[in-house]
Amino acid sequence: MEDRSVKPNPNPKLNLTNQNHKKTKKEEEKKKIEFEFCKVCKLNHNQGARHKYFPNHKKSLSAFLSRFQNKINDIRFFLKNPTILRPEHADRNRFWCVFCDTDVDELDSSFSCENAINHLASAHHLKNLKHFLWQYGGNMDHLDKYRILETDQTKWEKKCKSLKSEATAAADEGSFRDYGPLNDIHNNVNFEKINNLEQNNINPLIPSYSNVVMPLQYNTNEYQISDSGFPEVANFGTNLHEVNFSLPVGSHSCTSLWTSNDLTASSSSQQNLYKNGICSVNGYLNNNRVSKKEDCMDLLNALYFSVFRLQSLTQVTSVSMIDGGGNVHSGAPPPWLEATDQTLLNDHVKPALSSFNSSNKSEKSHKLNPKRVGAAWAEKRKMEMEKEKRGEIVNSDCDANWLPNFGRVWQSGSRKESRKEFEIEKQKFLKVESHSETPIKIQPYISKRMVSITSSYTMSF
Amino acid sequence: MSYLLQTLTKKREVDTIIRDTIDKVLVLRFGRASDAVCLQLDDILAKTAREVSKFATVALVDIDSEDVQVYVKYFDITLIPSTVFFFNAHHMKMDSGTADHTKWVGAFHGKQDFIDVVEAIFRGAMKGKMIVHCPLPPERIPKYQLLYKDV
Repeated sequence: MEDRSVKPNPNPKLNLTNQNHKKTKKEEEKKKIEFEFCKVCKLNHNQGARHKYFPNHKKSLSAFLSRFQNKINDIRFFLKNPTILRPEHADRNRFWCVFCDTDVDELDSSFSCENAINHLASAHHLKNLKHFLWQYGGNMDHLDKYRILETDQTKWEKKCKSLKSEATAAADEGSFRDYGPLNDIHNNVNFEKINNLEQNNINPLIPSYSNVVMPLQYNTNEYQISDSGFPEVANFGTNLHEVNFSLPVGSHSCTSLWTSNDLTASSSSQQNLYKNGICSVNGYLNNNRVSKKEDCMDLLNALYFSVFRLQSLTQVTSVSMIDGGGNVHSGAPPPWLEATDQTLLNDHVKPALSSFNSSNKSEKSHKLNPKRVGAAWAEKRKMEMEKEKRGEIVNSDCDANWLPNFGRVWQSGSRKESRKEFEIEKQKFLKVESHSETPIKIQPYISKRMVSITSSYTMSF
Repeated sequence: MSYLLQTLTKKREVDTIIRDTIDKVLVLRFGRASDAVCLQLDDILAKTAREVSKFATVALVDIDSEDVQVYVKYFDITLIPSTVFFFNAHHMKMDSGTADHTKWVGAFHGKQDFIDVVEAIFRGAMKGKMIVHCPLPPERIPKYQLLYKDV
């Protein structure tokens, strides 16, 4: 079991955003504390150690601890009354200890909550408990509420031992005591019946099947005898069914029809009776619900259909709906549209749509942040473009030398300065080019001797 | 791949596209179509151009053309591919931990990285910030050595 409890950061990191040593008091207070997860409030916070004193946290903590307290009380019950733990119930006794962040299960324990009790009494748990309370600001006085004292644990162990000896003695004698409900089909069947009773008391005439282990014939016959007052439905199904229905005494006008039909039905199904499994349907006829003879016929047809098809599907009891307004097959309007007609949705939807369409564009321009980069430029340019669209000639200041708002790599100064640098360099570049472009006058080479000869020649004349 | 995106060869074209992209990020890739890393970047740009089309426009600028050399000098482009971001004719800077914040040098590791970068720029620009932080972790940012003029 690893100790995975969250350890708080004792020294929250001081992230200095600038190396400037001239810190004001405000800057000093704003230490950057790392985010932590509070198990109690279930949220990440960067309040550091202050978090546990906040009222919200205190509320969450009390709720949290009281929830855990309930679980511990359950375990204390077993501390006082140790009971043998049956393996099939072992998975009900799993227990998560919030202080130790561990799961304590009872897979190999012979008594209920044995592992949990041992865990809660251990020194390891106590240590984690103390740490938790320190970290989340719980009251340290009530430590013993969340753990089991050693004295209690020893008492419990003694009780367990005595129980064990009893159990072994009893086992030796050969009697087997039933400590709890085993995988009892009989009992399961009962539960199944009870559940169905609650759900299916609308119209029990239509049989509903569900895949359950086949009950004993003996039991179902018992349940077939129904009282006059109670609605009883027994629904079982396997793949091989028979429908066996009997009516209570207190039925109504439809009874006569039923009895005759019943005979016919039962006679046809007699052959199938007692062959395989049994499916029994009991009914309590409600005067309000079944009112028409046609309905009875419909139901009967449905029964025949279901019987001889041997379907294992659950049939939806919807007799009251059949004679209603119509359905998909008859082409009736769907219920959700009718519902919307009734409400004022239509009125709301239409004006909303129209307002949406008209104000779509205007909303868009409202949304754009006026502080966004280049907002002024964008507005100006939009106007220009609109003018161009309309065909007017626009005085654009876009000449050959236009350049966007700057762009150099620079270390200091502002953007404009680097742009100015660029301009200067451009000028220099142009000047250099202009210098080199002045035409050089080509003159023939006159040597000094030639000069002296020509001068002497001229001078001689 | 680069035929899907507009390739600009004249200064006038570049000016036009910068001026006409209103309220959308403009991504200009300066590079050569024959360079390997440029091809990789172009591939990513072409694939994601449509996805970011609501808030960004992508175009390619060929640095080999004469007309565009002004821009090459202006933006101090020495390594290709270099990607420059604009918003409303303003140049956007991104601090990605490299030496040069004014442009993005190199390709992207994946389409999503590019989309993240463009989104970060768009968000910053809409808030009025001219420099934004790069949302990518350092291992996904291509590293390079920047040679300064005087070196």
